[in-house]
Amino acid sequence: MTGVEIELRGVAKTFDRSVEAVAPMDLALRAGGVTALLGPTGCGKSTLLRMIGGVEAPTGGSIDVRPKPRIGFCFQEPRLLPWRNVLRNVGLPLELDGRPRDVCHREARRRLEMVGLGDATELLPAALSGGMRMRAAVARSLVADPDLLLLDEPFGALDEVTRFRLDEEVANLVREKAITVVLVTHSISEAVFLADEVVVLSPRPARIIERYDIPFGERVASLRGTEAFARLQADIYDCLRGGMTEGES
Amino acid sequence: MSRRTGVFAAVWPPLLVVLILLVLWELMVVLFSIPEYLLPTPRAVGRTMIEQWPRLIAATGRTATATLAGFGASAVLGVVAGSLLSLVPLARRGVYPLTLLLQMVPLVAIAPMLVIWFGIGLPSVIVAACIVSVFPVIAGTLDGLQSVDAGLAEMFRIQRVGRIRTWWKLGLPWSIPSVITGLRIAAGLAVIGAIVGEFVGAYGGDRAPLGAIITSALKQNQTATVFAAIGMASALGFLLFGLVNLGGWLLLRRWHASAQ
Amino acid sequence: MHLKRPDRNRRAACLSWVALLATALVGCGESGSSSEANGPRRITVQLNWFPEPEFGGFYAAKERGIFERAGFDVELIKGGAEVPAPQLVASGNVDFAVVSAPQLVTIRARGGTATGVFASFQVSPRSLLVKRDSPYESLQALWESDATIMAQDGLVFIRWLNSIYDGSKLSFIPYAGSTALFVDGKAESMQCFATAEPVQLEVDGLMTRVFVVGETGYNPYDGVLAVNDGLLAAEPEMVARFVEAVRAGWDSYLTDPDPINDVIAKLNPDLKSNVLRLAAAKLPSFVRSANTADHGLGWMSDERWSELVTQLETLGEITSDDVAGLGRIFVNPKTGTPAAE
Repeated sequence: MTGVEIELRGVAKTFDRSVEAVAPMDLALRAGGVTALLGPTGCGKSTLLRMIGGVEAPTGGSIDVRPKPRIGFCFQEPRLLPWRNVLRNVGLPLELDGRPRDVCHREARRRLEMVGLGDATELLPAALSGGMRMRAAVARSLVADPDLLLLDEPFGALDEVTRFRLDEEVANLVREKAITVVLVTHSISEAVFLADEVVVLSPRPARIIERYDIPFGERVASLRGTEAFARLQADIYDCLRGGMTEGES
Repeated sequence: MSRRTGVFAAVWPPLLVVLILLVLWELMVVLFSIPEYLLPTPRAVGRTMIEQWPRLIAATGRTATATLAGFGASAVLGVVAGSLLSLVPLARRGVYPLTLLLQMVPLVAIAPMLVIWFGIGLPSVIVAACIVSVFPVIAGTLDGLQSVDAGLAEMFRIQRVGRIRTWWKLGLPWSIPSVITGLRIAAGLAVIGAIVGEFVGAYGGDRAPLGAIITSALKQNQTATVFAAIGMASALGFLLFGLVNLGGWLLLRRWHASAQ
Repeated sequence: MHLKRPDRNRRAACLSWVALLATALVGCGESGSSSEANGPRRITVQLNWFPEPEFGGFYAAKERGIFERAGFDVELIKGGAEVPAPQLVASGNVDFAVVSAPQLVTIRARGGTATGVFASFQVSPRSLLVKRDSPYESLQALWESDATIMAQDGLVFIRWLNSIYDGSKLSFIPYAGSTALFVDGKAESMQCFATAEPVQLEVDGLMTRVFVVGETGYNPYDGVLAVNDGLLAAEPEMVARFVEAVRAGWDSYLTDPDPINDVIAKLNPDLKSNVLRLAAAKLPSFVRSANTADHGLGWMSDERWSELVTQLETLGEITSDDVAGLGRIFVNPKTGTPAAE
């Protein structure tokens, strides 16, 4: 799987003629790596992600995504169909694509094993915990073997321990599969832990404040305790905060 | 253990209320010396029910057949119509207000026309039951389809799934709870529709369903029989309502809050 | 909590509707008649079918001023298939009603308090109608066939016929006043009054044959004027005067029916005037009898009522306990006597 190149040229988004979510932005994202879009709540980062994914159209500028990728989405809510068991939920994207049932089930089972839900295939979403549901959603986003994975604050609603664990699993999974990832988050530690590059955004309308390279190699739990991690986190915090107070004054 | 006591606990309060009401009814008739042709005592009604049991149960069977057929037709037509209205926005704006008309037209007024169009006996009674009970199903279906979770709908949109497939895989299962609600209302209405249809369009004599028994008993001033027939009709309504609830529970118990 | 303007308006509208409804209900509860000092006595009479020659005497009494001269202001309320005339007079909702004799007996058996005071029909015109070219040679042949009969299920004559013939193969469909289903052939026979439906159909071009049920031995009075017992007990003189007026009305109608038939035609646009004329011509043979020659139209005999009670008991319409509690079913009121008959 070659990396997916994403280039934004003068991309802007205004809703209803009055709400400017994204100011005209130029951004070239790293092919094959994990990029985190980090910004305060409501800054327009989700809108950016949705434009990259083709769900929303920019009101200005253009987005180039090459080569045309298979895209996997993961949202903040798991968005599982409550009447289907986990297996059939995870297989849904393939099913909607018209693939035969045994293929859907087989691929779904594999992804569920990857996220540690191999035993939960027969369960309905109502029987799962929040963390398990999110994992199922992650598995679903991977079921069609995406080249590009778009994650929109997927673990925001979970407790810290679960969140850390899922961050770890996803970090290693996407590197193993060499999937290009764009992650939207407002958690600095998540951005630093998961990404190869962090793009810090200003409050609405989103503008790029700063870009940070994340030099760490393998993402293990112990990474969070290192001094380098803490320093990077602090730098980015200052940058983020600076961007926020600038907006206020 | 908790399931059984749950059922018992749910059943005894209304039963007690019914018992109290029956006692009050009996007292009222006795105290005010109400003549039998105006209001019979519960005991008289009970006695009549026992005496005429074969005739009443056969009639209930006939009314039940018409009711079930009419209700079944309502269920199918209601879901289909509601789905069509949801899939075609122009149709919904133009046609939905007119379906309200179906509910508004007094059945008693059009029942004779139904007999002329569909014939005496089962056909016109089934149509009557259907007309009266279809609107709540349409409304429930439409309501459910219009209130699909936006996030789920977006997921389908992102994958560019067509409207009909989205309806089948997302909209329809999502709507089951509100369709069930509509069916609950339709159940009672279907019984009423069948009985009113039978006033005008059912065979009498040996083939009499409940509605025909009511009109003929009225002519003979046998008010106790009228009440007995009404009692059977109510029981039929309860039964149908219970069946709908059971169906809803079976469909929804694993995944919907309303059934848990 | 201080109501916003729209809520206040809605509440006011609600209250006025409730007040209106309450007034209407109170009004309903009162009896149909009220006597104004020195004014005519207001009387309500509920008819048990649509306006037809079978009520000719009543309409004649009204149109020709007979009621007025006797001091009555009479409202003749038209009926239909489902109007519960016996219940209305027994419960006092109307002063008088025209009912069939068996209905009077059964309602008395169930606690209803009404008494018969005049029998328009001395011979019951209840009949069954078939098309002239139909294969049924007699009423028995019809009853023992698998025909479909359009009739008001619940009328006693059906039970009577079932008791003397085997009607197990028959089907019954409701009769609500329209002959359409019979004319279309969906029913081979229909209930009728010998003086009414056959005439109407023949004028429309459909030839029929009539089987009079009375000829099989079940011949109750019909077109019975019943009065609410409370009214009868309170004002027996008034009731007697009213019955005399009705009698005079019937005499007048039989003598000169045509102008009254025109009035009936206006009230019932479904009837054409030539139908009415022919129907009226048939009436005398049902309305007159040896008894009426002696005692005047509408006069009723003990024997006929007893026979009816016995027949009803045999048919199971009433029990022997009911019979014991019937009380006085009828009376032939005469003015000038304190307790009539």
